[in-house]
Amino acid sequence: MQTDRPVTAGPEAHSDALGTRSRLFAMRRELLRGDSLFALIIFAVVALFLVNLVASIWRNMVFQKDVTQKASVQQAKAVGTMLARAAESLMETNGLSTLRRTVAETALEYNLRVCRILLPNGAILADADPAAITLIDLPASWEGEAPAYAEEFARQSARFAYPLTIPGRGSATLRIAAGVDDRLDASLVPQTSQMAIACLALASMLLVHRHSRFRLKAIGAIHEILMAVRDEGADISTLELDPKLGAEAVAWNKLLGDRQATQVRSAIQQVKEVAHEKSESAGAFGAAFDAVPSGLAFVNRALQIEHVNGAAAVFLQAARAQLLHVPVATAIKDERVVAAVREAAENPAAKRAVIEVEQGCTVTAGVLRFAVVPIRDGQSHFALVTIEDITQQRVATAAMNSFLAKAAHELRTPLTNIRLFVEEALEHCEKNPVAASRCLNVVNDETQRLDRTVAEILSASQIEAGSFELKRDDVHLDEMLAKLKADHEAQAKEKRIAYEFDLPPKLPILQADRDKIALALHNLVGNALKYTLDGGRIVVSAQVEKSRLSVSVSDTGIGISPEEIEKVFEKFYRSKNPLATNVKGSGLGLPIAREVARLHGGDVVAESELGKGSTFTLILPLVEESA
Amino acid sequence: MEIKTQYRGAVLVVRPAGPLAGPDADTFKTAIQGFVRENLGRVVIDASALPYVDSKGLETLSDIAEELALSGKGLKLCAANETVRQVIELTGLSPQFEHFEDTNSAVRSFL
Repeated sequence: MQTDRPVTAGPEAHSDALGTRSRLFAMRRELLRGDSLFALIIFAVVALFLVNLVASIWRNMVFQKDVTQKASVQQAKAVGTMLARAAESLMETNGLSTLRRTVAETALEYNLRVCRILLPNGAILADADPAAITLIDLPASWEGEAPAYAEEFARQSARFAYPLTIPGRGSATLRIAAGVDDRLDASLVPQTSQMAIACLALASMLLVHRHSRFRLKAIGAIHEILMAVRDEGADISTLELDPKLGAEAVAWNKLLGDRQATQVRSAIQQVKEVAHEKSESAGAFGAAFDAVPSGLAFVNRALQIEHVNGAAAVFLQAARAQLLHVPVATAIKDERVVAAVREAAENPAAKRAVIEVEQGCTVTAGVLRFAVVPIRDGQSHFALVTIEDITQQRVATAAMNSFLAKAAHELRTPLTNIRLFVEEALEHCEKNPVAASRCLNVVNDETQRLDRTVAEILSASQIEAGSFELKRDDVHLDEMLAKLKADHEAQAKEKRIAYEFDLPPKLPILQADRDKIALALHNLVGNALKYTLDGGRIVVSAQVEKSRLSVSVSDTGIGISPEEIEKVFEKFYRSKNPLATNVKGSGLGLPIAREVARLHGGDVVAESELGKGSTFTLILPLVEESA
Repeated sequence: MEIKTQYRGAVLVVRPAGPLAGPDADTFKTAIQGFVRENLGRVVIDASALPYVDSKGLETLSDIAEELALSGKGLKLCAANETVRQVIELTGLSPQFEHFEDTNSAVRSFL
């Protein structure tokens, strides 16, 4: 916006100038908008002029009427006087007929309502109406006195009584009644009409002027406002016009109202959008808060939970609403955690505290790790409690420790045997070659056992680590089963176990990991040999079905109880059967066999009856599947 | 529908046997909600014995997944057959679930 502000003028001078200009503008606008004093004076003068004009006309009319009435009365009075003198003269000379004619003509001439001559006894001697005459002849003389002169004025008439004195005869009375003419002079009517028309025209002009002034004032005010908006900008609240200025002002105000409404709607929309954005932001924050797998809880200085996410609600085993704004001691039962929260909430410099809490008597019941740290937020500070479920880590660590202990045990046993028999062989190598040879055979067996154990531990570790991968190749199952038979025949023969193979004439070629399938089959047969008592029977059979191959290893061993039938597939699980306690084993054979089968898209399933034997079936799909 | 459970470490493996359909879906949902609550969310659904899942069953799985998502967890399915996996894929619900080839992988995911 351009300004005329001098370069040297300070902000205050500029402000004053603007204020004065604004006041002048407001005053000008005020004068234009409403009924100004000037317009009121003009209106009053014109009204006064009109009133005066009307009053003059009325006064003139009253005056004219009065003059006319007085003239009528004077005329009647003069006529009466003249007629009285004429009557005295005619009655004195006995000219009764002339008198009567004169009376009639005078009455007719001057429009007299009554015109008669009466004797004192009431006899009518002459009258404007001849029929009213009661005395035909004029008496020579008569008695009685006539009343004195009298006059009487009514609303529209005047009555006169003139005493007549007729020498030698007596007295009489002339009574006349004349109508008083109160009609206006005809010459006044056009003049009055012209004045009335002039008044009406002036009044009309005043009304037209007033109306047009309103219209023009509205348009002028709008013009002024538009100029002000163009030059300075203006607050919309000062732009409204007086609705009395007419339809233009009303329309203008409506436009302003619409604009204000639009601005309000726009502002509301903006507020809504901002609120929506904030809501979305809060929603996104809330969603992110809930998406965190760790439990989070904010605790204020009053030790009440301000915020809590879904994971924390799950870990604390309560609905989120039940945790909000409740004392932390209500939600978290462990006193160590509560103490750490109190410390963090009250002391912003408190150190991070980590507390692991076991939920129940056993590890699997749940182990939660609470980490408590103070958080400063401006002047206030909170305690942030992070809750993690470390149960599975604890279990895994325990399993790993157990695994290592058992693995160490499994390795130590053959190693001890090897060391002892090597020492014995060394001792007898020269003197007793037979004993030395026997010792070396034992060492050989233990070495093989050690090799298998190490392979199993390695496989179990690979399974645990998820790095147990398959190397698929053509697997000739008949060759593999033949080798399986050969590998375990000696052991079966040693225990006098009938070791039989029931195979179809032709077996398919598998796409599988040869070594791992061999490992799985060895484990199944090895388990059967371990848990089958001397003199028992082991049958290895194979069935080729539509889309799968089943290799079953059935034995007449000690069997497995139904409760243990699935547990034998868990790593390091050892049967509770007393007959099995003396059997050496790593507890890894069956889990590895099942894992191998499942990696190939198959499975190992077990059927068993305690004391009668078991059948473990390795199922492999014939159609190649992705592992 | 028969629902078997087995702990693998601290993780509860739930193995429903039979179609997840019709009224069984409600039973399954109630059971899973209880398991999730008791085990602090350490639950895996072994779907190897689920022959198929109908719309009600899908809705149930979706509801459970949404409930778990509110606590920062996902619904872990494992060993689902091709039919079940295809249904989940075709209905666009797969992002709601974590699917594993076998139980071990699913259990390991809790580490």
